[in-house]
Amino acid sequence: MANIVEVRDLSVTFKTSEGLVYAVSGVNLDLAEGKTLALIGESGSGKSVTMKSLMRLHPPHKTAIAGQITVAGQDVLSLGGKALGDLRGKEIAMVFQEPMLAFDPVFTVGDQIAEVVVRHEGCSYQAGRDRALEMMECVQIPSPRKRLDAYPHEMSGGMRQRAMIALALSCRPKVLLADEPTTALDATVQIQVLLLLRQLQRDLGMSMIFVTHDVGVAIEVADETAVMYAGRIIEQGPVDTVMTNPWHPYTQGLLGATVYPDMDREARLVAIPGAPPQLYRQITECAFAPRCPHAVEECLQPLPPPMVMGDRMARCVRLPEVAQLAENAVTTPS
Amino acid sequence: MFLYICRRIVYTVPIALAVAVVCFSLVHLAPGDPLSAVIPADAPAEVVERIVKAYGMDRPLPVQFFSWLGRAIQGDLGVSVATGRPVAAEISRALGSTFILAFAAALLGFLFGILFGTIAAFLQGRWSDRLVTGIALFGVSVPHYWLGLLLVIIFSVQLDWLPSLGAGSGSFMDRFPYLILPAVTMSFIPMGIVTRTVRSTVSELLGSEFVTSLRARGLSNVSIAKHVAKNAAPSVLAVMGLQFGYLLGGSILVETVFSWPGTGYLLNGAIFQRDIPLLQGIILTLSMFFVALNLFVDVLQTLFDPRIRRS
Repeated sequence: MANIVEVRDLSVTFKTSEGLVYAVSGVNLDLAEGKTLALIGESGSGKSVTMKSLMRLHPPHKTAIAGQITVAGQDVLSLGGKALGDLRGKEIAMVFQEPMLAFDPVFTVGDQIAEVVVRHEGCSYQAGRDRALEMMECVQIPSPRKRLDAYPHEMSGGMRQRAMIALALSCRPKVLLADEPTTALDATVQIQVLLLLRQLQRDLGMSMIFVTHDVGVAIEVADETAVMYAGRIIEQGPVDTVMTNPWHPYTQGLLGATVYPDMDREARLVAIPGAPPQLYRQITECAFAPRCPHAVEECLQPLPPPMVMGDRMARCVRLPEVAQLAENAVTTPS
Repeated sequence: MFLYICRRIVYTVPIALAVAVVCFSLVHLAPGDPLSAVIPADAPAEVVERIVKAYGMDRPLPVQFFSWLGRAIQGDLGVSVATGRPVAAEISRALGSTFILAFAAALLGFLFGILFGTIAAFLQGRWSDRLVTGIALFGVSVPHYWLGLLLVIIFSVQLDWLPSLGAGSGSFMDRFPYLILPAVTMSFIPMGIVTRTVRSTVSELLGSEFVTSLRARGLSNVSIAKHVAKNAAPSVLAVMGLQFGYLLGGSILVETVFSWPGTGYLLNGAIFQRDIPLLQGIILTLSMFFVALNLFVDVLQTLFDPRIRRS
């Protein structure tokens, strides 16, 4: 099957007042049509930066992006302003983490959706409004006609996120980027929005990249997963095999620190000691080595190329013995 | 919306009343006898008594206040001590000149302020930003009577391009040259303040998540600018309203430097001649304009930002 998104050797560097920040280094991603990829990692691991790069949303004068990004057959990094605008919102759309911040507060939700439809389909404002209504129904917002004229602050958190999804899907994008879309919501609303997203993704045959730090959510929605640490993808593969049999010590640690349904009541969650590294220098060795229980001398040497076996990949010097150790020791959620 | 406006108008009444009290008491708080300018120093006691009675100054202060206020509401601000003409007529004549000057200065100041502020926000940190921010800083820091004198020296005395005194007479085109120097002088402060407000408001908005979200929707820069403008409008309007109020009321120095026949010039004369009714009348009129302007800006803000209506 054709890949709708291909990322090759993506590196993103930010210029800050304290020097360069190497936010993302050497990321490769493939997303097939109609599939969902979960991008997992803790805060600052480069998930959101990677996502924003797919739409080239970083401020250009403070950001250096290297590598190659192809979305729906277009080379994103070489597109001109107009062509980039045509791609954004039409071929690839994004659902943001905090809908309260992602909506313009002084325009009604209906107007904002209609504006995007008019922009990409060149239709009349009225046709845009009609599409907005259709989308609001599609994301199951109660009394959608009334909600069209609501301002973002007049909606509840869950409804706002549904409206955000309606906006993102209004031009039938081929790829949907969801940047922790449920993190800002109440637990009960989280699962509704999650199920809605999965349903829409399947119904519309979209591809989706889903950023989360919640392993349970990843298992729920994704086909594939990529685990990020300190700006690199350290493990990648089908979500069920990666989650049941993690290879990389970081993935193992992440799973060890996660609650799962059939967990033993007495069991304690094991935290990963230490903190992620600062990214003010380009880390060429394994960035996880200082926190890794299996680290040895050679982990401080520059990282070897990714180890690929079948449909899985991991970047650890001590593979496959570490993966073997884990299989015997770690209990994982199913 | 309608309810909000009504409520806002009702709130204005106590403010206006308080302003009137302050205007009235100024005269009695100022050192010296308010009637000393009218009464000759060697007047016999019975003449003094007659004059005091004629001005109603023998009655208790609250009674004086309400009778003054009652007449003021009907448009009767008393008679000027210096000229013997009705204060209301004096003020309405001067008000026109002041309005023209304030409008011209506001137009210049706001136009350049918005332009400079937007440029600075979009090109933050680059040389054009620094240049514009420097001009804005100059605008708010420089004393404008000094700037007025400087402009007179350059454009009237040295180059002899523009007149430096009065408001001229005849058709609009004949009078226009008289307006240029005072308007430019007065525009510097609002220009500087509006530049700074627009720069900080717009640059904050440009860094906000919703602008990223607008970009992610594929909207053009023009459309995004529309969104940013509507978001920036309430705070910029608030500052502009305040500045326009200052332009109306605070032009004493500039009007005096240019002998511009406006309320500031009139006020300056009234202060030196201790023309109490005129003084009270001008201060009251300008204050009421300020109050009305604030009301207008408040209502305007709600048109741009729906969130204000609720709180």
